[in-house]
Amino acid sequence: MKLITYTITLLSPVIKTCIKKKSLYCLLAVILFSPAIFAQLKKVSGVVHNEDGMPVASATVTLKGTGRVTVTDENGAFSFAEIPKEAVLAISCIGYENLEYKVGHAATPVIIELKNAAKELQKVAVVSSGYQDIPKERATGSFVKIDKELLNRQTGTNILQRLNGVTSGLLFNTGKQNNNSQNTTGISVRGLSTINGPLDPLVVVDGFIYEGDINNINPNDIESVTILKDAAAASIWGARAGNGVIVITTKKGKFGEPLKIGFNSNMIVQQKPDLYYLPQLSTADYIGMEQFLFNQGYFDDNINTPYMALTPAVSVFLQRRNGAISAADSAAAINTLLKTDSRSQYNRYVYTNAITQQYSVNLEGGGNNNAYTFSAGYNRNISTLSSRSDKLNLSIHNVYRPLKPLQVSLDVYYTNGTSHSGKPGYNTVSVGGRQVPYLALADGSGNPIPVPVNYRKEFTDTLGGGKLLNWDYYPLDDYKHSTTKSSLQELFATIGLQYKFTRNLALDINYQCQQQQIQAVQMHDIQSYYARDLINSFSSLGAATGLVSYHVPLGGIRAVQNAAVASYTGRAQLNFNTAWKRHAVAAIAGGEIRKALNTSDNHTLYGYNSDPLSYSNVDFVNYYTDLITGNSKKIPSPSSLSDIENRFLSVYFNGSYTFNSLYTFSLSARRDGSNLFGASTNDKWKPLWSAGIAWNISDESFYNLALIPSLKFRITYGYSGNVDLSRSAVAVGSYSVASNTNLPFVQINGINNPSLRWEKTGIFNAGIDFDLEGHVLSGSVEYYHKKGTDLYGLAPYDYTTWGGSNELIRNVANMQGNGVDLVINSKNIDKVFKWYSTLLFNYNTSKTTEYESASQTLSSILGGGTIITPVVGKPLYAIAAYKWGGLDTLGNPQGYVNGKLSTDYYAIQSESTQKGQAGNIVYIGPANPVFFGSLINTFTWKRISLDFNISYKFGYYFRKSTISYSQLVNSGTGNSDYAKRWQHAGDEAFTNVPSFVYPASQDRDGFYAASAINVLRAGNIRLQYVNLAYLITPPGNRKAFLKNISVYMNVADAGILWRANKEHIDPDYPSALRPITSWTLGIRTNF
Amino acid sequence: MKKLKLNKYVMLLLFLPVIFLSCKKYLEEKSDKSLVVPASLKDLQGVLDDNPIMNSRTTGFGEVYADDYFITPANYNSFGDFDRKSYAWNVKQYNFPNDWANSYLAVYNANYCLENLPGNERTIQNQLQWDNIKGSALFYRAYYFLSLAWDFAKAYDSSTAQTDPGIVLRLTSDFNVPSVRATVKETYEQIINDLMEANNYLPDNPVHPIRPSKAASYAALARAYLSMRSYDSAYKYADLCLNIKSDLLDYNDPEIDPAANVPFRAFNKEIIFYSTQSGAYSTTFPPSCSIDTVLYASYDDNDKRKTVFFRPFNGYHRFKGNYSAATNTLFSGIATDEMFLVKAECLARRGNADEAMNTLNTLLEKRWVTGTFAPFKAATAGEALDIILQERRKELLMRCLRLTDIKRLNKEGRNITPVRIIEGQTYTLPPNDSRYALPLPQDIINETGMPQN
Repeated sequence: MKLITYTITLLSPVIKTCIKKKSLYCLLAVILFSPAIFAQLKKVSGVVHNEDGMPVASATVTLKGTGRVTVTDENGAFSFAEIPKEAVLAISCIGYENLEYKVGHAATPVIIELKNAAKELQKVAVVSSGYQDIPKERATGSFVKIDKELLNRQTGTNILQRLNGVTSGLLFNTGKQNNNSQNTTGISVRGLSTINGPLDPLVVVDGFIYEGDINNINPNDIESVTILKDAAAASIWGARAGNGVIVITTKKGKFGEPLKIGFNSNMIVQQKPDLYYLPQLSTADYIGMEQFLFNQGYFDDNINTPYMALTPAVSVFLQRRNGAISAADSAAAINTLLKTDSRSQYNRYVYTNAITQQYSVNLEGGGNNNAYTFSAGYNRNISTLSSRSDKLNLSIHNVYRPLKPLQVSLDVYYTNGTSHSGKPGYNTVSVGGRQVPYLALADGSGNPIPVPVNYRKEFTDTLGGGKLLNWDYYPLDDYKHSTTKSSLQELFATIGLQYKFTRNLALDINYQCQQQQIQAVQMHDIQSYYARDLINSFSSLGAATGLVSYHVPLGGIRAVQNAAVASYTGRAQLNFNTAWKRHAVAAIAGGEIRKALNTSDNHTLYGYNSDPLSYSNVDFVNYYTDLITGNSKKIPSPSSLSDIENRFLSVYFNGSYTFNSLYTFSLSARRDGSNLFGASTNDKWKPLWSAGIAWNISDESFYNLALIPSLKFRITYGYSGNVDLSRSAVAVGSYSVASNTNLPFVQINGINNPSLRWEKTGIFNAGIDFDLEGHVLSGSVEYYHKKGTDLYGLAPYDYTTWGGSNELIRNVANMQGNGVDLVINSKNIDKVFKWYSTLLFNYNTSKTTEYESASQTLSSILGGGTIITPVVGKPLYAIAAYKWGGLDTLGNPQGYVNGKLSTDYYAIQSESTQKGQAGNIVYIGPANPVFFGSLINTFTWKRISLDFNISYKFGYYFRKSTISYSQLVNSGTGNSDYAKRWQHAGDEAFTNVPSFVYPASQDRDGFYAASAINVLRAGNIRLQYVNLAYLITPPGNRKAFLKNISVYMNVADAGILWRANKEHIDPDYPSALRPITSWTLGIRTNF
Repeated sequence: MKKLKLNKYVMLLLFLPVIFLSCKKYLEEKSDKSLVVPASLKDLQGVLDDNPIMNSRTTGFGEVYADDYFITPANYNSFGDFDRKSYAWNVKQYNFPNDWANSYLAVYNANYCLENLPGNERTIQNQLQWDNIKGSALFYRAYYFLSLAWDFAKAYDSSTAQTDPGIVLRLTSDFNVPSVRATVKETYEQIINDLMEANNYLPDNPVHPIRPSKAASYAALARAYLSMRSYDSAYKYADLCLNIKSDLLDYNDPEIDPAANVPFRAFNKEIIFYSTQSGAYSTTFPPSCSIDTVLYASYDDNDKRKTVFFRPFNGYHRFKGNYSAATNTLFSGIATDEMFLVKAECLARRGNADEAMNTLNTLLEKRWVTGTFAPFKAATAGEALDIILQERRKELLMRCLRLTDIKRLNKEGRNITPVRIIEGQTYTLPPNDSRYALPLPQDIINETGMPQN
């Protein structure tokens, strides 16, 4: 198995080059390499290379039994002074099998060849914190590294989405709604550590904070992703690392590497959404309800306001009531409606299968003094609603070493994207504000037909005596005339200088400039409903002349939004690495200055004509009479400007000391400052620190557990922060211009909060890493404890002071979280047929420990657990419900008041707010998974490999959506539970769905919706993805030009395998369209 | 070798200051350029010119309890729980958002300006602006306190005002100061003191009717004294107001189209101070509530208001005569017509029937079809008062004045009893019933422990 090749050469090719370059350091190296120096306690030096003869950098070389460690440099070279003759070197490096090498009498430099590791979830040897690369053996913190192999098992265009289900401690929060603009990823690392602060983990790309759109990063350019989970790992990112850090590293060429070309192409097909999944009221029930409401006079106000839109069924009823049609005609017309289903209309005329094409080419390589990477990626997507987007990524990475100690790097990453809006989605077209399940979008022959969204057709058709523009809205046609095209250009360029003062000390100076321009052009041409509606409603009809005068000119309406994001980061950092005898020190210290600018401006042009290019001026100042409603109104001028500049200053230090390769101590500290608006300077600066210790127990001399040759313990503690730059310590107003007076005014957006501070999260982490003999079983177990203090919290307050809100955001809350992350890799079968598994298991709980507001009781979490609601002692996402007392003999839902059954919903509600759990309310449980993870199985047989990922989530609850009669009455939003409602005496024995009552009562509906009967267990198991690959040419074949071609097929979101609820509801999507399986076919090659 | 190393350390030392350069100024840049901590006179005037807050937050809850309108069964059935309960005067509990919050939002802005104004020295150059801010802030605070007092406190009664619970008199923007209910007496004293002080600072006429003026401040004093039944003082300030501004619209003006859904232009010339009620209650939502049939029938056929104010709808009539120039927002501001009516009423109460009727006729002449108006006559002051009160209701309907009028007039034994018929059942709100002081929001009661009405 262990093929060790070593040859003795006096002058390796590396040294030859050195001499040519006449570099002092090279000469020094040659002297060190010289065999003349060693004696009994000899000095050993050597070069590590791989099977292809290329040097292996960053390999760890350990002198066994002494704890002395060194790492190979870019040329694969290493050396030890004064080693005993019998010394054994242990060499390890990511991607290669570990190797032990007896020095013996071999002459130096020794040449050691490492064998490529078999393709498995490889043990990671170096992790990156974004600021430095840390050998895994010496890391005290909690890092998870996901390499490209694993990332490529999923095929989407978003790199973060590819982390779903393949890494421990990471949860994708589906179905949660947090009104937080700083929650765009939906990802939480080890649960929550904030209540009202930003929820997104910090994303770092190649060492710099990335604040652009993550979709702009081409996943094919990614080498690896590292998740920093605990304080020791993340605290180096300071005040913004409280939610964890995701460090993305792009592919980079290495010195002395021959040209490698990688190509990947695939096509993803996603089916139409399953509209029938939604629990929709049947058309028959819906029309029955409309008939009932019509008879009750519910629609009379609308009917008697001649311009108000009526739904098709109500129009029929009205014609019948007015005697305009016969009973038979009315029945026939209703019958036609009964046969119409909006869902089939949308399926037929609106939705299509979505197609995404991805192409990507990478070139990488390097000479002795330079290394380069070029990559190009192109994505094209047509969505299920026919919106189109194209994206081109180009990147160049170049490192040049003009002098031995100096390294200059230049990275440029360019993205160009365009997108074009598509058709209106399901349920976005309503009639007079009501959802209609029998809406016809096209006639029998497929021609678009109009839908009366706002106004009655009979009214608008006759209003102007034919002089106005047509006032009809055609959903199937209008999207062609009201379009939004956006274009995006992003460029980020990084220039880096690294100067090595000595072998141990280097200075890094990096500067990154990022620029992003987005322009969105919303164009409503003259045929669009938007333009016609606006032009018509601002017209006036001359009573005498019969002429139409226009206040909004005839022509298109063009709104342009320009947004620019720019950030500039400068960093200077000293790296110090040294090892002597049994000691090794690795330290960095640096400072960073950063500013991020967001500017935008919007403006609208009326009377726009593209050819000849022209527009007209309009009067934004004076009031005009709406032709239909008679209201006074102004021509909309949606112009706005914004200019936001966030500034940060940081200084940081991170150091580790390793003794005897057994014990590592780490310490990091960071101080951040920002221009947090209104805060005093002291509050702007926040010191954060962490400390950790690691113990490689398996390297101890007393350790003799042969079964577990590798065992390591680590413990860390530290703080990271979380800052919401939109909060302020003083009353802050913003200037605008009043639309009715044209006077400038200041709107006070929030009142003063002088005690504003940054949130702070303390994290304790303890972990064990183990590896069994022959890697049969390896993995890690980690326990963590998080404690958040000074968290931003919404506290109800006496709004008599300021009525803008009944809650104020203050630093009012503390929380804590506990959890376990477990990763187990196993080699179940390791013959020609291979079966490897990875089990990810996570346990996470969180609870609010302190909250300033006492009125926050269980009744605050009757809402269904989709938003973070702090209640002391309960998880951040939690569900409580009213005790359910069944239906009474009239079909009314019953709760409890003073322990007795009651239908006084007002009293039930009062008791729940006053007594909480002591009253008529029960705490159900968390609304976010407590146990979750996945099982990844990989089967390989010869050139075929198959892997599938089964993910699971347990220990939580969700609230199903159900019928609300008041919503049904007011907006036509129904629910299929309507069919199960109580209708006759005795039904209460069979159903829990209350009877329909009119007038509808929100109190009754609200009680029923929030009662325990509608809370279900959310546990589920789903097939995350299946990936099948076939290697056409195996990698071992060195002669083949195309070394490594594989074709692959992937099925993503393959479906739910098991769910705890019996009602076939996907708990992550209780009332929304769920994601549909997508299929990918692709080819990948490296040569 | 060693020398070389040394040089490099020197180089390094040169770099260090760059690394640790912590520039305090760097962090002092504003993060959002459109944000401001309002402090300058321009900023403070801007805070008071925030008309979505300062001019559209008077309480509309009182109008819901009043009797100018009724709801058809079809509409009643389409309402939510709160609206159905409030129509039957049966609201017990409700939470944010509400009129309480809306009105106190404007009070906050006024307090904020009063607190921050002293930070700006009053100079010869800025005194007009300085005075305008001072006077306006005092006016706004009093104006909203009055609106709140009308709804959330009992009618002013000099015999019980010292003990009747009034509203919260918030005079600071500091949210750490707990809220307590003042008495009705203290409430009205605060309102009058603020307005009296405002008179010293405000200009006679405003730049725009959204801004307070001396005319507006006099008018507000007239309103306050009228609701306290201090009719002499009410007369005095109504008269002072009319001396500054007494423009009346002629409803025969072609600009006022009786057929239009919105007959009045925005900010018409009768408006002394513009404000609208906050929120929209389904009950008093002008497009869906019907006007009391007896009230409608009381308009003369030659009275232009019969067509300008109303549109026929499904057998009844709905109100469209909003001075807010919108179909769905009730005007709650002060216009000259109201001041003519206050003046007329106070004259009648003084026993001056002729002058009272003259004042009334000045107004009504502008309401009748040109050439058809026969001046109203009253033999006695009592008769004059009856006519004036009737005309007050007909002119000022749906202006959020009716409930406080009912409260005030019932104190004098006029025995006005609003009646609702809901699902065949008759509900009444008897004179001086405790429900005339509307309930405070439940969450405010929970948070502050103040007594509920």
